[in-house]
Amino acid sequence: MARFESINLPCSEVEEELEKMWRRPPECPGGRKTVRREPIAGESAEVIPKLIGAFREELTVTLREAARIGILEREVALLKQRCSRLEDLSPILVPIQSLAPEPYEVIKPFHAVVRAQGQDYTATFFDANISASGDTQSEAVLNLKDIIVGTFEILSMKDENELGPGPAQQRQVLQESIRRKR
Amino acid sequence: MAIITKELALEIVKKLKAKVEKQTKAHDIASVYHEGKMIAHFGIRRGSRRDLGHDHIPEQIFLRPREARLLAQCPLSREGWIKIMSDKGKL
Repeated sequence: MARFESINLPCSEVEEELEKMWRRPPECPGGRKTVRREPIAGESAEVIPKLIGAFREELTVTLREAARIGILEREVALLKQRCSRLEDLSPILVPIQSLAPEPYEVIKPFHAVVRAQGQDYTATFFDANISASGDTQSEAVLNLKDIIVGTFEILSMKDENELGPGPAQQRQVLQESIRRKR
Repeated sequence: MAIITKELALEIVKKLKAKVEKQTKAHDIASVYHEGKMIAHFGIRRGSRRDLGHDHIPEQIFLRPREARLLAQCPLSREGWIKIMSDKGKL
């Protein structure tokens, strides 16, 4: 026989008791609102506190579960937010194969490393130590291309003895990577 | 917000006595000279926003972002920066 476990009673008995508890009082034939209830006595007097206790236990478990699910939902939302931020923060490699619309061509393709810095992005051509910033990743890459061309033009006009070690190395890397279109 | 804003970038230009050598579509390129040699250069973005990000500048002038900010905000002088560049073998 099926039993209601928290109060150790057969289910049929529990249903019976619940039926007694929740039965609506009969309509008053005289239209008077006061209805006399039968006092609870006998077996019912013992079962009702048990039922209330069981109901309280079940309610506590349900509320605890609901609170737990609420916390887990918040945690998941937070983790999703952090994952998306981490994806934004992780550097990406952008292959540079063209400098269009500038009148320059790439002779040895290279990569720009684009990193998030605060709310902006920085794109860097590491070999040449040339960087540029942008409000978005694509703007940073476009700005990098712009500065690569500008730097190349400045450095190409200089004599060897006008350049310190940094710019001299930059010029060498740039000369290997890009050239003016013929 | 960016560590190096346009406002600070312009302070760095003044502090290092950099010379705007070329204007491209999106940048003014400023070069820094020491004893007649170009030792560094960086781009200043076009745009009127004072908070426009210029976090690419520290790498270009061989400094950490915090040091670049100090350069713009006074505690680090041009001479101090030249000393750092010399220590790093960039002169």
